[in-house]
Amino acid sequence: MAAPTIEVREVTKSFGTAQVLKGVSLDILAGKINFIIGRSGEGKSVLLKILTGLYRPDSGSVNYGQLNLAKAKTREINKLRRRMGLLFQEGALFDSMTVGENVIFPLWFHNLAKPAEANKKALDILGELGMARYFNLSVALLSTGEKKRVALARALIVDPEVVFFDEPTTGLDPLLGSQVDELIVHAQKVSQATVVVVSHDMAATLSLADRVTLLRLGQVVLSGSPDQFRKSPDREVVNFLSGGELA
Amino acid sequence: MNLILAMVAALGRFGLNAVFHLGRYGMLTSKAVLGFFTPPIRLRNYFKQMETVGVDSLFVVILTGLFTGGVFTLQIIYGFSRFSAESMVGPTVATAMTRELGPVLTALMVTGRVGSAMAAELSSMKVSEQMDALTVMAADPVKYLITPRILAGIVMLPLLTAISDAIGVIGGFFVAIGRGLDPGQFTGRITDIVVMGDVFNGLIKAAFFGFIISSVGCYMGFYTQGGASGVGRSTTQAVVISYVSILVSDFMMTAIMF
Repeated sequence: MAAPTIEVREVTKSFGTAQVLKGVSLDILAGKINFIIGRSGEGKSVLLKILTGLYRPDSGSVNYGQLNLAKAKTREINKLRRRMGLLFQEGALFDSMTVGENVIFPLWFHNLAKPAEANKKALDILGELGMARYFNLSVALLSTGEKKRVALARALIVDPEVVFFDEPTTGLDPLLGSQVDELIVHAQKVSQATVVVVSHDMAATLSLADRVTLLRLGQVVLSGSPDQFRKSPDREVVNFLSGGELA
Repeated sequence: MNLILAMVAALGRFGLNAVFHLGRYGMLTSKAVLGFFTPPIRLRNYFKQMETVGVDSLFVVILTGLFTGGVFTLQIIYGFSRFSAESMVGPTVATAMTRELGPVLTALMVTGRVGSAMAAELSSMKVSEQMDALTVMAADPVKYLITPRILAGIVMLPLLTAISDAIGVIGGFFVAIGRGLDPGQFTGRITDIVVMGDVFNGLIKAAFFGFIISSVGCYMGFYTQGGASGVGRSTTQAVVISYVSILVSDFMMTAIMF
């Protein structure tokens, strides 16, 4: 099945009296690398959680093909989730498990493969990411970059149609940051998946993205290709381009 | 007047807060209990939790039972020997252990060891987004994390209590012998006085305490807010709430059962 285009329409979300998203509309392009950027506190992570069904929007719609996440039943969202992967900012690996157990977990939990097949698939994916030798190691012993690789392997093992990255380079040194950039490209190339990256790393955004959406105060300032961003006269966009990294 | 209004407002806030938490606790535990009956059922996960709650708590429960039976015997020998009722020492120790001391002390020890660990583990999973990771992988965190823990609490507490009861009576027996009682004097009337209902009701209490320990520990961990300080706060609250709930419910169950 081809990865769907995700249509976000007029999404709002508030927490108490604070309105975080104020009518966000954007299209996530199928099979492409989509970046959502903005300063801290502009609603990027909330939007990511809405895209993955962790939060429901107060109003508006998030359409994966025919399925509107805003109104879908939990069972329907869970069915969709089996086709998506999410790489959390800190990896969110299960620290009571080994690397292999973490990667195999989605297959094991949903009975998607026999143990031998699951092990082989996990070893193959870990091998592509240079992590196969850590298969039986506790994840607590891994470095930050290694944890991100294992988390990506866990996200990719279900052959996802959509892979989400939550601020993947935040807190990493430049070398690790470039390794994570490679992981993003790897995820898109290997599985032909739709990739959604929430980030404020502009260098990565301009070099990797097929489509960029800039959020400011819970609204979309501009959504387009990196070239459209470079040519935009909008002050926010110009600031973004000249600022190195949005903080 | 302002002081009275402030007191009423504080009382109202407390009441609302209590109702909110009780409602949320009820929803969470209902969902977890429903998980017993809905697939997929991962037996490995259940057995792992049973090992943590039961097998790993065995040593501390044996130690507690042994010394509780021993010290209780020391105290009652002193009193009973003053009016030549030494033959009642054994039955009294056995009755106290099976009805009260076994279930309650076992529950308190397991709360300190397991309830706090459940709260701490789930809290840290919450703050490190591991629960969100489960949700995104379409693995219900309640069913995966809480259901096996609650079942383990309900199943393992009665088993630990039965062991504690037996060890307590054995501890009392050796202390009584050490204090000059005849072995037959200690054991002779136990079966006359202690009936199966005492043992059975004590085990029912233990199962209920197991439910309290695991459900409260899981509730506090599942709804943790904040970072490391939130983990610490949840752990402490889980222990305090479990202790109080065990003692209060013990009183109520004892009033109903015996």
